[in-house]
Amino acid sequence: MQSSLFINRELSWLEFNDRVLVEAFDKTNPLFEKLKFLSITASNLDEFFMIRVSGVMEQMEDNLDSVDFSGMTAAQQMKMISQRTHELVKKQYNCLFRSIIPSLEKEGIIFLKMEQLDEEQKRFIYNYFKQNIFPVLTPMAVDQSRPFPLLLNKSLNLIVLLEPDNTAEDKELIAFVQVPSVLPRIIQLEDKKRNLFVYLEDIMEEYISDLFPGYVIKNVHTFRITRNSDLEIDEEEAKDFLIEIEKSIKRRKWGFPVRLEVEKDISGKLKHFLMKKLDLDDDDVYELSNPIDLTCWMKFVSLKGFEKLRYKPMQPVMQRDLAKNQNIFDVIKEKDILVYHPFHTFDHVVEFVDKAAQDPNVLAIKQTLYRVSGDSPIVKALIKAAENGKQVTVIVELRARFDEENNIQWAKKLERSGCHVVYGLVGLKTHCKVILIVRREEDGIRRYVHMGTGNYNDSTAKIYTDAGLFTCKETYGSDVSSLFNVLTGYSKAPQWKKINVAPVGLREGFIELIENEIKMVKQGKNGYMIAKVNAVVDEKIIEKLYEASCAGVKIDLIVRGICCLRPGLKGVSENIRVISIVGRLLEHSRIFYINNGDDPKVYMSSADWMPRNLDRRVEILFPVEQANLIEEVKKVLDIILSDTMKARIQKSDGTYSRIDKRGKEHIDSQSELFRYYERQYELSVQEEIYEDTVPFINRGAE
Amino acid sequence: MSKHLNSVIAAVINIGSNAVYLKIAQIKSGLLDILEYLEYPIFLGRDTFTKGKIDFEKVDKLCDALKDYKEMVKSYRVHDLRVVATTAVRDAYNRDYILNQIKVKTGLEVEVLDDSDEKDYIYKEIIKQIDEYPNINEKKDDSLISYIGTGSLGIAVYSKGHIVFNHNIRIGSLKLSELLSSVQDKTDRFYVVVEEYLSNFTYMITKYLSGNKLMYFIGSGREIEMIASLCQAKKDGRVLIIPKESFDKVYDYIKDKTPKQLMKIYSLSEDKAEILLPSMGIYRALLNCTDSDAIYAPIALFMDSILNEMLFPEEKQRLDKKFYESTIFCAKRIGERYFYDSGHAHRVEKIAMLIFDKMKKVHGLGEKEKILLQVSSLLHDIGKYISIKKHYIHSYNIIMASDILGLNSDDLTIIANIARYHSGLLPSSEDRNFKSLSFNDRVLVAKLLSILRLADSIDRSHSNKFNDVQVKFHENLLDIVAYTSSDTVLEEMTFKRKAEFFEEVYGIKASFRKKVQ
Repeated sequence: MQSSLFINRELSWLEFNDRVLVEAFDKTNPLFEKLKFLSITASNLDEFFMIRVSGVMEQMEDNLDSVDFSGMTAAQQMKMISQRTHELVKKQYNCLFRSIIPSLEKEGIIFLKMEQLDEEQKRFIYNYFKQNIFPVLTPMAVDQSRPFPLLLNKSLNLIVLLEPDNTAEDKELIAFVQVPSVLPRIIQLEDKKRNLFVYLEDIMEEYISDLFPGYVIKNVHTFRITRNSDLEIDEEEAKDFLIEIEKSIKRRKWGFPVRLEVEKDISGKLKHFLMKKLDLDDDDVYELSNPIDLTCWMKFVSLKGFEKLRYKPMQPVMQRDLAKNQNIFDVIKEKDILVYHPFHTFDHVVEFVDKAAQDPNVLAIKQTLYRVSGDSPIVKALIKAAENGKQVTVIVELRARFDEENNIQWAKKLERSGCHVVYGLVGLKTHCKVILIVRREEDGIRRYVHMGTGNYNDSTAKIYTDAGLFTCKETYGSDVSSLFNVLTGYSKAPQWKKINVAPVGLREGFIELIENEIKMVKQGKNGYMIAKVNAVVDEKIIEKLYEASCAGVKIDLIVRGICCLRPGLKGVSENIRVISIVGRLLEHSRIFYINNGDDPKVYMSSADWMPRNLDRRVEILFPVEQANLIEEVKKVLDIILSDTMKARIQKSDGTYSRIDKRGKEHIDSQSELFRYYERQYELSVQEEIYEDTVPFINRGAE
Repeated sequence: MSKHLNSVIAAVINIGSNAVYLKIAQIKSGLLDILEYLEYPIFLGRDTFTKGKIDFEKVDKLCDALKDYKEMVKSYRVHDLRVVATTAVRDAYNRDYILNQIKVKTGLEVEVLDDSDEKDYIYKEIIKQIDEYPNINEKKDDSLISYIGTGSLGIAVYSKGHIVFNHNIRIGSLKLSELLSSVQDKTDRFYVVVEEYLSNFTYMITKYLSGNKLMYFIGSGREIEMIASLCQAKKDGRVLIIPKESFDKVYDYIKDKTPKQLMKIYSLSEDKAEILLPSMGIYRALLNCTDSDAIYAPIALFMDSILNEMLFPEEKQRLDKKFYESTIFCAKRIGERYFYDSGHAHRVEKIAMLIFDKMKKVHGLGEKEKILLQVSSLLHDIGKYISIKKHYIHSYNIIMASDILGLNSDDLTIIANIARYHSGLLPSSEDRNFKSLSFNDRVLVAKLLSILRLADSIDRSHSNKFNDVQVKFHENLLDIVAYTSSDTVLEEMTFKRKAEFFEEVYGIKASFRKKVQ
C-alpha cells in the first residue's frame, strides 16, 4: 500500500495534544479546569519527549534511510515534531498569558515579580529564602577540575555566570543550582484581601548572590532538560525481575538529553554552552517566558476554595441491578452485569473483590494488576483475602510505565501477606484486566469473572471512562481460568472458547470482526461497525478498514488519541468517519460494535489498535452477549456519536475540526451519559418502590 | 456454613509423553464438568523413546510443574487426587528413581499405568459413548475401535455391545515420528517410509480381524480432534464424523509436506505438526482394514475417563461389569485362535468358578482374582497348539504375548504362571520363573492354581462325562460330587494327586466322589 495513506503517529499524537490544549481555551470550561488542561498538555509533552522523541532520535542514529509507514525518515519526523511542538508551546504560553493569568487576576489571584513586592513582602520572602530555600540548595560550579554536573531529568535549574569580585582579569565561571523539587513551585504571600503568589525560581534568582560570596553575578537564567526515559531491561537475562526493574528506574534519571527549555532572554553564549554540553540541536531547544514547566499548575489548582472555578461534581450512580440490596454474586448469577465508569461507581468492582475476600465459600481470587492507586482498596481487599486463607494469585505488571516504583512497593506488600504474586511473562506486558473468583456453591463450583477495559485503579476510575462486564457464564470462567494458568506459567494456552488473547490471535480477532461486515455487504446486507479505541496505529487493521470501506461497510471510529488512518480518501476510506472526544473525562474504554446483518454483536477489549497492544502484550477481546447489554452499549455509542460539543472530526490530512453545530442540538456526550445513567438508576429505584407496593394493592383487592 | 456444600471435586494429574496435564472436575447437572485443564509442555517421551531414560533436568522441571499443580489442586479443596504416568515414564529405565524423586520433592505418589490400563480407560469411555450413539450401536455390524497413544496403538473389535478382541501394538504417533525422524531429512517422500513401516503390521491385523466384517471405524487419540478439524468433520451428538473421502484428500495433500510447511499451512505448533503425518498414516492404515466409509471419533479422553470413574462410582461398577464380560469374550477369542478344546475349557471354567465361590471365606479373594482364575481356566491348555510336549510352557508363552482387554501385564503374568504350573510341574522357590514374582503374587498364583488343578483333574479325560458337578464346603473339607454313570477311575486318580497341592496351599482336604444318578 502507498505510504501516503497513513499519518505519522508522532504527528498524530501532537494533534491530540493540541485538542487537549483547545480545552484550555474553551470558554465553557471553568477557569481552574482550563489551567488543568494546560498543565496536562505540558506533562503529556514531557512524556512524549521522554519516550517517543527519544525513540525517533535513536532511529536517526541507527538507520538514516528507513521510513515509517507514512513514508517519513526519522530525520524528517524530527524536523516536523520540532516544528509542531514549537507551535504548540507558543500556543500554551499564549493561553497562559493572554487568557488564564488575566482571568485569574480578575478572581484576585495575582502573580508578582520580585520588583513588584513592597518592603514587608520582601522581608517575608527573604525570610522564607533563608529558612526554607537556602538550606536545600547545592550550587555546582563548572571548571577544569569540576565537570559538567549530571542534571536530573525534568528538573528545573538555574545557570549562573559569575566573576570573582576583586580581580582585574576576566575569569568567568559557570555554576548550576537546581530549583528544589521538594518545595512548592508557587509560593503564596500573606495577604488578607488578595491571593498573591511568587515563583520559587524568581526568589532564588533574586538572592542568588548569597550562594556565591566573593563573586559578582553577571547573569542568571532558568532552564530545564528532559531525558530519554524508556526503560530497557534484558528480560531474558534477568534473574530477578523485581531487582532488574529497580535498577533500571535508577538508570532512567540519566538517559540521554532530548529537550532543552530555556528562558527567552538567556545569552547566546550560555545557551550554546548548554546545547554543546547536552549534545542538542537548535530544533531541540525551546525558548520560553517564565515560568518554565507548566506542569506546576496541576498542584496549584488544588488551591483551597474557588469552587466556582471548578467543574460541578458529577456523582457516579450505582448500576441498577447492583443498587438493590442483594449479594453481588446472587445478582451476577441471575444475569451478566455491565458497568460503565465513571457514570457507574467503581465501588462495585471493589465490592466484588472485597465481598469475595470475606465470603467463606470463596476458595480463590485471581486478578491482574497494572496500575493501582496509592492506597488501593483493591490491594487491601486482596490482602484481606489472603489473610482469610483464600488462595490469592495476583499477576502484577511491574513494567507499567512510570508506575514501576509504585508497583514494586505494593507487589512486595501483597507477597508479604501471603498472596501468590507473579510478574507476568517474559517479553510481554500483562495489560488485560481480569478478576476471577472461584466460589463453592450448593450445586458445585461456580466461577465469577470481571473483565474490563481499564485498570483496577479507584482514583483514575473517577476520571477515565471504562467499561467492565461481570459474568459467571461457564465459558468465560473457563477461558479466564485458563488465561491465569497461562499468565502464571502453569499451562500453555488452550483453544479459547469466548475470548481472543494477544499476542496470539487478537489482531486476527479484530480483523475477523471487520471481515464479518465485509461478508455482510457481499450478502446484500447492511455493513456497519463502530470501534471506540484510544489509538489506531496498526497497519494491518487500518488496511483491513480501508478494504471494508471500499467494500461498502460504513465505519464510525471514535478515537481519542493517535489515529494514523486517513478518513474520507476517495477510493480508499470514503465510508470511514473518525471522531475524537476530548473532554472533562479521559475517554479510555475500548468498545466494538458490529451490525452483523442486523443481529448486532458487541465486544470489549483492553487493547488499542496498536502493534504494541497486539504483539507485545497480553490483552483480551471479549464478547458482551446478553441482549439487553448489547442494546445498552449501542445506546452509549450512539450518545457518543451524537456529540456536538466535545467531538472533533478528523480530516484526511490528519488535522481536526469542530462539528458543524448548525441546526443541531448541543450535546456533550459525557454529561449526557451521566444523565442517562442517572435516569437508569432512578428507574430502578422506582421499580423497587413499585415492587414493594404491588402486594398491598393486590391484598386490598382480595 | 460451607459444610453443606459437599459437592465432590476430583483431580487427575497425568504425566504424559509431551506434557504434564492437570484436570480438575466436578459433577454438574449429572455430568462431568471440567473446571481446570492445564497443559505444561515437557517432552519426556522424546528422552525415553530416543535415549531410553529421562534426563534429570527434565525431572526437576517436572517436579516444579507438579508442585504448581498441587497448589492449584489445593485451592479447589479437591477431595480425591490421582497422579498417573504413562509410556514415557513407564518405559524409562530410570523410572524407579524418577518416581522416588517425585515422591521426595512433591510428596506425590504416582501410579504408573500399564499400556493396557491406559487403553482400558479409553475403551470404557468409548463404549459408554457408542452405547449412547444409536447409529453404530443399533446396527448389528461390527466396528473396529482404535486408540493411538503417543507410545502405542490399541485396536479392538466391538461386536453386539461387547469388545470381543483387542490387541496392542507398540507403535504410537510420537514413537513413530521419533523412530523415523532420522530418515525424515534423507527423503522428500517420507510418507512412503511411514506407509511401508506400517504395512507390516496392517498385514497381521487383517489376519487377526478376518472373522469380523467391520463396517465402522472408531478412531480416538490425542490427535484425532486436530485431524477432524483439518478434514472439516461433521459433529453428530458427541461424535465427530470424518468421511473417508475428505480424510484421504487431506492425507494426500499433507503427505509430502514437511512439518515446517504444515506449521505454516495449518498454523500448528511444532510438536503437532511433527506428529500429524505419522498419526494420519496410522489412521489411514487402519481405516483401510475396514469397510467403513468414515472415521467415527467420539470424544474419548483418557483423563476424563479417570475422572468419571472417581466421580461416578455407580457408573464405574456398571462399566466394570460390562468390561468383565468383554474380558471373557476376548479370552475365548484367543482360545479360538489357538484351537482350544472349548468343551474342556468351559467345563474346567465352570467347576473352577464353583470351587472359587464356595471357598470365598477361605481364600479371601475378590472379583478381580476370579477373572484371573476364569481366564486361566479357559486358556491353560492353549500351548497344545504348538505341541503337546511341555504344552504348559507354550501356554505360558502365548499368554505372556497376548493382550486381553481389562488385564494388564501383571495380570497376564499371573495367568501365564497358573497355566505354566497347571499340569505336571509344581511351582517351587527353586524355579527361576516363579521366584521372580513378588511374594503376594506367588501366593495368589498358588491359591488360584490349586483350584484350577482340581477343576482340571475332574475333566481329565476331556470328555463330557458328568451330568452335574456339585461343590460343597464343610469345615476343613472341600467335597466335590459328580453325577455320572460313566467310569471315573482316571479322574479320581488324578484328583487325588492334584489335591495334595491344594491341601498344601489351603490346609484343607479335598475329596471327589462319584454319584450315580
